[in-house]
Amino acid sequence: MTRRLLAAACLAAAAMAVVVGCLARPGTVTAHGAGARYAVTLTIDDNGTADVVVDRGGAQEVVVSATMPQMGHSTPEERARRLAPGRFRAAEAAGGLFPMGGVWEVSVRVRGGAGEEVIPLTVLVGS
Amino acid sequence: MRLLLLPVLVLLALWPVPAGAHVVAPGADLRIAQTIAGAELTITVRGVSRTPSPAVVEIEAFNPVPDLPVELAMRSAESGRVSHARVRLAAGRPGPYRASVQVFQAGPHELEVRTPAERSVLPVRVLVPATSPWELLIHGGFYVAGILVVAGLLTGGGSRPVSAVAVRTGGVVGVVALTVAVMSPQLPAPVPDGSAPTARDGAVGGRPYVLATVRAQPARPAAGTEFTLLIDLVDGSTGRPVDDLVLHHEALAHLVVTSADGGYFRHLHPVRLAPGRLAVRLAADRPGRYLASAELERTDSGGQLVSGTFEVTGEPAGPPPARPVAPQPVTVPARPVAGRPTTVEIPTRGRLRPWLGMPGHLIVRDRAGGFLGHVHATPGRASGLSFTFSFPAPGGYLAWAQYAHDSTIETVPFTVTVGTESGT
Repeated sequence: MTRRLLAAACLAAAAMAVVVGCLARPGTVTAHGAGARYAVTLTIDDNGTADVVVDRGGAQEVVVSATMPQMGHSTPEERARRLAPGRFRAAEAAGGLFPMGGVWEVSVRVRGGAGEEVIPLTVLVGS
Repeated sequence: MRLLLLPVLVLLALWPVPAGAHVVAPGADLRIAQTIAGAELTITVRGVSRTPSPAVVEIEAFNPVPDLPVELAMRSAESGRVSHARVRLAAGRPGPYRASVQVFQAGPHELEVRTPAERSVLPVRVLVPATSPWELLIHGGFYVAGILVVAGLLTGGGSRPVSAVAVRTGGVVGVVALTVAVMSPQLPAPVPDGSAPTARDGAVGGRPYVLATVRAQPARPAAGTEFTLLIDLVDGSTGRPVDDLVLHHEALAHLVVTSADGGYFRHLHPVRLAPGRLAVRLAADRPGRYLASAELERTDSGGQLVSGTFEVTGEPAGPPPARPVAPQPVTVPARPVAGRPTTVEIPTRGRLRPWLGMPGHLIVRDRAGGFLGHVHATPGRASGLSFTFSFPAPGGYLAWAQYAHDSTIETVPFTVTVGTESGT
């Protein structure tokens, strides 16, 4: 009986570890940022595609670029495709926005009726 | 028992590594020196243990204290929610002045410090202690074990199979909880809420160097008139503004401004106007060439020194200020030798107190202005400060020792002549 209990405990621990490992694995990343004029939610999927939802302020154009301060990398600015009012998508090509995994600072430049504002967001991107 | 340890070890191996420590620890205070509107302030943001909750902001002013209204605004960079507070510095009263701002959530914030003439936007990351999963496991384990053992014993103990299973299961759970409790000091601490994302492999190698442009606004200010000194910081690898300065000795940057002849000296703490842009208001009392050097530090990097020059025009604004009569420093050895440690003993007055996290500071510049050293005092004699420094080359050096007593920052200017081994 004791052996069965111990085996069950081990199995439970292993299952928990697997669940924890899956939850911890980097996948879709979401970050929120708010400036004086606009507020945005940035979602990076597994392919590095950037979805930007402008939560506050009427946005006409969104441009994204990224910087990796640790390595000194930066990416070109990319104008996001407008999917719907307030919803934009950038870096849809293969490879996505980020050339490598790590901590990236994404600059979301929003233009709209309230003017232009750059909102910085920090995300951890899986390799 | 070895089998019991297995699940704990498996968990340890697969548990995600928490992010590295940020510069602001949970519950710790944040101290920032700012030279704003002619006042030298130390702004302290008290840590919070949960959100939403009020955070105390304490402002201490050093003499001379002007009559100055100061508005504070704490804004979440994630949600945009803002909390305002206001204090008024009274002329001649150093403080401390206290205000309270509401912190609605953990994470990155901007603390705006606004006076009628100037404003500073300071990045502040609010961290809130997170609940440790190990604590949950320990407390939950003991709780479940207690229930199982008591229930098993009350329902027949070893005489009934179900009760026996309950007692044994309770025992196993209790042993696991106890094992985790014993090991918990070695287990990874939970990542505080609001922490910046950190890569698993941590920071290796530091960040690129900083390039600085120092310019006066107006470009050629007249002696005796106030002007703004702007410092634009650019990343050497990306060309983008550098906005990842950490607090280096309680300031975003320590700016030393000296005239070419060394007769003018200021140690200032610029405000942050925007990403990569620092500024300070000052006035120079004599025309000529001035040197400005900023000591700063990027995240995950060491300290750096960036420099620039500017010109002041016009006529001297009155006679040079009379140097206060103060006991002169003593150097040991009396004739310092280049490349060898020299100790400078500074007699002090008043009740010494730490300033910028240190008991005292010594700024050393060579005559040409190409070399600038910043030395910290070591605990020494009760009636003075002791600095030890190796002057790199023979020649004449200008030096300024600084320390705080009560609410006053004292500056003691002096010169040091350094010789060579053979010449002394």
